[in-house]
Amino acid sequence: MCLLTYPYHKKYKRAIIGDRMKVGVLFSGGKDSCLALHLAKEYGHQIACLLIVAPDNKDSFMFHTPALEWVGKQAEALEIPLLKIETAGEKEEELEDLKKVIEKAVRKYNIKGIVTGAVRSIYQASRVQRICNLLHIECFNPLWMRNEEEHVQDLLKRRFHTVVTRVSAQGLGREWIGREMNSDFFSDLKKMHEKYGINLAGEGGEYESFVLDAPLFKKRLEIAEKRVDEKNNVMLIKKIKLISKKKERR
Amino acid sequence: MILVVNLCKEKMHELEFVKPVCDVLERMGNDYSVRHYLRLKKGDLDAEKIILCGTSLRDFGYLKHLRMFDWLRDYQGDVLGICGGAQILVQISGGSVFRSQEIGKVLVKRKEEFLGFPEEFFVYGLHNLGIKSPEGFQVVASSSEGAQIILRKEKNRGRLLLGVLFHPEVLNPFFIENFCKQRHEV
Repeated sequence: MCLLTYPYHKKYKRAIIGDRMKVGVLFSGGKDSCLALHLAKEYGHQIACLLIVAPDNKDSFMFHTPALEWVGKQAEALEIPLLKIETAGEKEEELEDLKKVIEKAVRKYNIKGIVTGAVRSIYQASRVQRICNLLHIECFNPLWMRNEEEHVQDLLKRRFHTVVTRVSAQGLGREWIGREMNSDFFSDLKKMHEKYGINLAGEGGEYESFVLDAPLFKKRLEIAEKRVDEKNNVMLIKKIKLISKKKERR
Repeated sequence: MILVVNLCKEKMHELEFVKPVCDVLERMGNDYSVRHYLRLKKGDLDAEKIILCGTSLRDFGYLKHLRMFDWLRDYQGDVLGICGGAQILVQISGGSVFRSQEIGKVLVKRKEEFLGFPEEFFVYGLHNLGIKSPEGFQVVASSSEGAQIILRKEKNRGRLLLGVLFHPEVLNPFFIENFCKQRHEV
């Protein structure tokens, strides 16, 4: 017997099954924001748009992805509209710009929530939480506090095609740049984890990633031209091709 | 067995507010079950201890349904209320909540030795409402905004009611571990 006979019970029963909500995904093109997008979709939410904040400042604490200029191609592959804002990348200014782009998404797409790929960064998560709270919309962090091993297994299980775009840790040399993040990659990374304490999910900024294909992508991305900036240990993508998955299946 | 009570209105928020608590219990090898507060059954309350998890900043659904937590008055085991759970615990016990916002890292000072906390420590706060300690409760730790940890030891029932306004699963998981391990001498 259910303990609760409160009259609102039936009404709220619907709510806990999960209402379909229009959301925007704070997107960087990396594995975490892409996985958060997939989870939001699985939980029945409607992804109205992707939001990106592109900083001029390469040392931005909030938004740091080397391949940010190629997120447009990912949005095209996902067939989801993209809202982009450029920012100087200075500490408080970039938050103001983030607020502006979220406000724009609320106005244009009537979104009721923001989804982020935050895993452990309190700095990033709390700032997005503050902005969403101010704008009276929900903030979802579906990967929050995830165990790194579980996170990696989930990425492998979902067959994300992801490559490493930047490395920045002892033990991760130039040879890691451009590597596909498959089971071999993670087993090699585990060895580095044991030796140098590198976080498997790259949460300490050990590496950055870029997703070329994932289950929700209608087209897959292929890097046609690239160069490695050896000074900064970054892969500079020069050209990307979009390839139809439908045609490939045929 | 520990019962984890889910307060989230939005299902995806369970990943953010319930799962991290369950992960701590799992790491400890604790036997636990999870139930949404709207779907609690009588048998669920046979649990040895109960943890009421928190929920998102914009979710106040549980506060509209305080009557659904009446069972807390009769429950015989220890209770840990996290954030929204602490707000419920306070209101069920005759206290109140007030507008008070803390988002992010918050410095907390404890007043007396408690569950392994140092004198000063950082916590992860995520709330729009603070808690006013009800009569019979003791404030163990506070931030500049007010009470952060409150507790009541009920000697006649041999149980401990513990409310924490912050989210220990983020920066202080040992707090949940100690709560689960500890046999309180009440």
